Amino acid sequence: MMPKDPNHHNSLRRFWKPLQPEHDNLLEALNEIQPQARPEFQSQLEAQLMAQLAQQIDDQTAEEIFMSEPNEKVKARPLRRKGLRNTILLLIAAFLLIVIGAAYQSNLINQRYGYNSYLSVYIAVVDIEPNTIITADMLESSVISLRTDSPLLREQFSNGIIHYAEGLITTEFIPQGEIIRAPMIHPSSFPSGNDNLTITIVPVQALRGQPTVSPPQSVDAFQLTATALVAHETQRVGAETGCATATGLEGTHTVIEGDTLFAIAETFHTTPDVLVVENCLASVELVVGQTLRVPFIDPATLQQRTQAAVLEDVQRTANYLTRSAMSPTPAPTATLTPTIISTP
Amino acid sequence: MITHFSPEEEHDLLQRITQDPEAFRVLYQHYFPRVYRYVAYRVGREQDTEDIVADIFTKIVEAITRFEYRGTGSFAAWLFRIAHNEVAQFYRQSYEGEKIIPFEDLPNLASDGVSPDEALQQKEQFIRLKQMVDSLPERRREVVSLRYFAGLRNQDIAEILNLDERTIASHLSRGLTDLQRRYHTQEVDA
Repeated sequence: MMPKDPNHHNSLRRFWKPLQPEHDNLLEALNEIQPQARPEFQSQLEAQLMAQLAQQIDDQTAEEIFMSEPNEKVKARPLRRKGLRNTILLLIAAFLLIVIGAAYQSNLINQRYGYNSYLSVYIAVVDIEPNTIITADMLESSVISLRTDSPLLREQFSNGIIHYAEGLITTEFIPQGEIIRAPMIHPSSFPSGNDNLTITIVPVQALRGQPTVSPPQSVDAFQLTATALVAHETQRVGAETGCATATGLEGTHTVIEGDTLFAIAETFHTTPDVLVVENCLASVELVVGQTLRVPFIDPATLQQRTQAAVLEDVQRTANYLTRSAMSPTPAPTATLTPTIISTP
Repeated sequence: MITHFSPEEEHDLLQRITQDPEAFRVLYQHYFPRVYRYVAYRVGREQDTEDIVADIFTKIVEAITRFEYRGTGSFAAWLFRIAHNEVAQFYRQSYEGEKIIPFEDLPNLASDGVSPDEALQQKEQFIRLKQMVDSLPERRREVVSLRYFAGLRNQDIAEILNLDERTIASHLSRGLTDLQRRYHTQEVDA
């Protein structure tokens, strides 16, 4: 063949195929000179890659076995973690809010009234006949009426806030000197100094026995007369600081060996916290020979009760049943002596 | 060692690769020389070449489960896109400019049973070719490298560089003409 004319081919190249024979020299050179990797490099890299791939396949298999939907899990996990964290934060915030709120309110009450916490009113039934039986049934269903000069207190009674005494309802018998616990009354709602409070409890039997006779006044009822609450409250406030005994409890009890606060409370039909407050006890530990103020119970009855409490209860029940069978119901009267006790 | 296989075989190997590491070995042995050659021509030094080739194949193994087969040549295109990116990254980070590379730093050239003189000549030739390719405009340099060093088809190069196939053909022909002209003038100079 004739030697190629580069110009001729160049002119043709534009209209013909892109790779012209004139490139042959160059392409030959490119083909001839081929950089070669070191064989050990190639084999080492190969071994390394095979190990990496095997590991990857293992991992992926494990992933497929343990996580059927890996993508969803990956997305869901941080969300869940976030939700849990939010819940915990919310709980902590709510807790702090409650603590701060309680502290603030208790501080307010403390500053204003000198009490540690909310107030409860205890109404001591001290003036009823000994061994007068007031059943829970009677008490719950009885009409308790209130006469007072304080519109606010009247309103509270009419709203049913003080509908019936609570705390000792579970006891069948309420002896003289019993303390009946009424729902909380805030000090601000107490009647002013000149106000009088009269609570009337009408036994339900009386109403049942004489249905034709209405209003409580005309029925034989026992009257509970309250002293002015406010007067009492101020007395308590003064007492609270020095813990002087200004108690509505009439009886006393000398602690003997084996006595516990709970046992004493049970004997005298009251509750341990009443005893603690009324006696200014710093702790529930009692000392032998210590004198406690307790609700008054007739010594004879007390002896009877302590000797055979269970038998007594049975007898009292029988007694009550005969009494309730009698008509008309006897008319016990009681004087209401309210005391205000702070419950921590 | 270059193993040859048809596009169908390659597809089969790629499908088996997630369960069978041996399938990857075949692909590796097929593609390693091409990758090495491509990188060597772009980088020059043997040490840099080996580092980059190792990085490329490590990335390929890491990403192999995410590879989607899209017909003949798609694996080569995917593979050399990674290679291309690695080389580009090397140029950005540690290329020291137009430096003369000592002969002892060059990779071994295909010269089985050649005399030391001929080997030396080949090394000179290699450096000259590399310099010629390097002196091309950037796009042409990439196209020519992928076409002649990596041995890719035009349509695969088009996919790697996100260019039209006809643009690739145009770059190629102009690049080659350029190279041809320099090749002859340099030969004359030598």
